[in-house]
Amino acid sequence: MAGAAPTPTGAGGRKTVDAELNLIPFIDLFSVLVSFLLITAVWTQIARINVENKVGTGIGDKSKPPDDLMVSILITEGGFLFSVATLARTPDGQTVPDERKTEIPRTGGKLDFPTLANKLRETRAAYPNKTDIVVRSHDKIPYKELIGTMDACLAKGIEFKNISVAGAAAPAQ
Amino acid sequence: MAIHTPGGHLGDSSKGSKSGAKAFKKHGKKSMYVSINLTPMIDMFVMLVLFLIMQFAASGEILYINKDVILPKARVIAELQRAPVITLTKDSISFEGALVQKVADLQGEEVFKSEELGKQLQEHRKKYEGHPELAKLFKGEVIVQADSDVPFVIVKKVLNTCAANAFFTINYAVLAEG
Repeated sequence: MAGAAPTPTGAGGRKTVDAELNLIPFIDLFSVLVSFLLITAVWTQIARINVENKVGTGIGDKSKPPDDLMVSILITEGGFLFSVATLARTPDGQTVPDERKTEIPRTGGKLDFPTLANKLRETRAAYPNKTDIVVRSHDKIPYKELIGTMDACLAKGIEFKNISVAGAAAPAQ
Repeated sequence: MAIHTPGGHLGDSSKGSKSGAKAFKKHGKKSMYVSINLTPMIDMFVMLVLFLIMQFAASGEILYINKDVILPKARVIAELQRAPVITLTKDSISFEGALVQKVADLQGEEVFKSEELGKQLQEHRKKYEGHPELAKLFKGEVIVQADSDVPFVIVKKVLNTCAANAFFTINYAVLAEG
């Protein structure tokens, strides 16, 4: 226990009011605390991107009726192929697919994430209730580009929170 | 607790007391004892403790980074929960740290999923199926810890294997950016 005691340094028999703290218990406590915190410290902050797993199906669960609107990104060796597909209904109840595709080529060999973010933002503004997106990739695309694309979809102001990952066959050579 | 005079210390506390002075000093000779100023040491400890408390994570280290794995970075992240870990390097696939299969064995368009990894996932699932209480805890969750440069075809086959064995919740491990 840290004790504080008056130190009799005063002259002429008068008691001094100066008190001295015993610092040894403080040092003991800090030593133990520092040791504990050093042992339990987590130096690498590993986190996760949580996505829905729909690999291989291409679009998603076929048992469900198709969405009227589907937003997808295909990552290719050439860049992104951003697609917004809608199902327009004719007066006789038929559905007619309408797909608008935008190519976003690589710049200097790297994926153009700022342009993709702009497209995603535009789509989000046009369809504010749409929160799901399909991210597809060609086989040779490195994993970091897939993660980068998913990260772009989750970015603030875009927030396509339900991401499905799907494969896409590379075009025949 | 009552305040009392502390016992003999080699530092400042012995300086003023008569008994301390008697114990360490002799007439006409210089004292060999030097008091250390402990204030900077305490300051340093306080700063160190504050820094370490800021680094502290109650969940501890969920997964160890394999030396062959360079995790990709992401900005929008969530906290990682404990789940079985599938590690994907450029050469191999491991489940909970144990080598399962070589990536070379997964090459080829006719290979849809990893049979070896499938067995490991099934074994893990059986641990839950044996007990009704444990079965409720099974979430079908895995952590995929893949190297940045692993091609998507390998990731896809691993994910196919997970889906085929009812592990539908995939947590992609990333490093926090910025």
